[in-house]
Amino acid sequence: MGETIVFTSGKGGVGKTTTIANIGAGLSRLDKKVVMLDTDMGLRNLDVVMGMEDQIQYNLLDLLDNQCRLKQALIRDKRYPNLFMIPAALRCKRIRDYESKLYTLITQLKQEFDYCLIDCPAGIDDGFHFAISAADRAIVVTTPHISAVRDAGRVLYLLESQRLKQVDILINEYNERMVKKHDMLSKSDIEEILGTNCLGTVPLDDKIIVSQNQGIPVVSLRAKSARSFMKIVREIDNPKIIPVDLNAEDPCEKQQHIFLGGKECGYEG
Amino acid sequence: MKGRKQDDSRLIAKERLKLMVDSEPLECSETTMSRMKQEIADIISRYYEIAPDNYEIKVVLKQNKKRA
Repeated sequence: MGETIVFTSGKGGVGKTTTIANIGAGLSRLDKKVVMLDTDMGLRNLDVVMGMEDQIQYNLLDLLDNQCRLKQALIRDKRYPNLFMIPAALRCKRIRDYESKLYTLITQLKQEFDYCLIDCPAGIDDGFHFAISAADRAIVVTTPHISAVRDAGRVLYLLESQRLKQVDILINEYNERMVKKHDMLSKSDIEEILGTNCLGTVPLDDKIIVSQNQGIPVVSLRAKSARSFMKIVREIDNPKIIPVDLNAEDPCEKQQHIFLGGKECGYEG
Repeated sequence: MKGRKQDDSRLIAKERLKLMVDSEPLECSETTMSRMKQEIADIISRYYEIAPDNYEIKVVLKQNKKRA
């Protein structure tokens, strides 16, 4: 049985689509079978970021309306054979009428996929409620901008009524240098303000633009943001295991981490 | 703000956000809020002598505490 994670933010432009594309690609690199759903009707972007815009024949709405079969709407990634995407429709009225159909679809997808990642539209309107309706857990994407953190707070408040299994935050555009100079909210500041655990931070990285120009996820490249995304991916996939630096000199410390994880350490540094 | 430079914008942001995030669900009209504050002030004035310009009432709902 797979898990459904919705990526949401409230504010637009904080990197939801970039995050979902890279976490999707990252999870499939760990041999997980992943499907990404773009629910940003009208302003779909996940297909463009993934370089799949010329392969779209059917979309999520066609699928929910039974205009096509699941196999027809799924687009397989060229690089990662375990990674699939269902694009959003270009227009949609009365999206909330589709919530029960979405739930049925997700239930079906969870039989086949390890992870079902939902790209939520910006804002807190009907599209947002539709996107979060079938999720098991949520990742609220934010940046250290005061407006993005405030909107994340608003979204976290709205998510409370969903009774999700787990809700975490993720911080994009993080700048360690500015944090050190007290010019930027730190990870722990944001965790404290929002009262929510942070899965990790991703630095601002030119390579993200470069990779998206080519329609490939940045985790395919050697880049600082790629390393951050992979760290977060491991956190998502195996939260019980505390990341261990396999190059660490103290073997006792390593042993302790494995013990705390309560599992055999299948983690690849 | 011991020993910190005064233009520590991180702390300013943190303070502003704490108030914003905490008080969000309480959003109500200006008149309701001022009436509520007046009533609270009336109650306090039964026990303490307070001058009108010598007190400040802030209503904060700690939503994050509730989440934990």
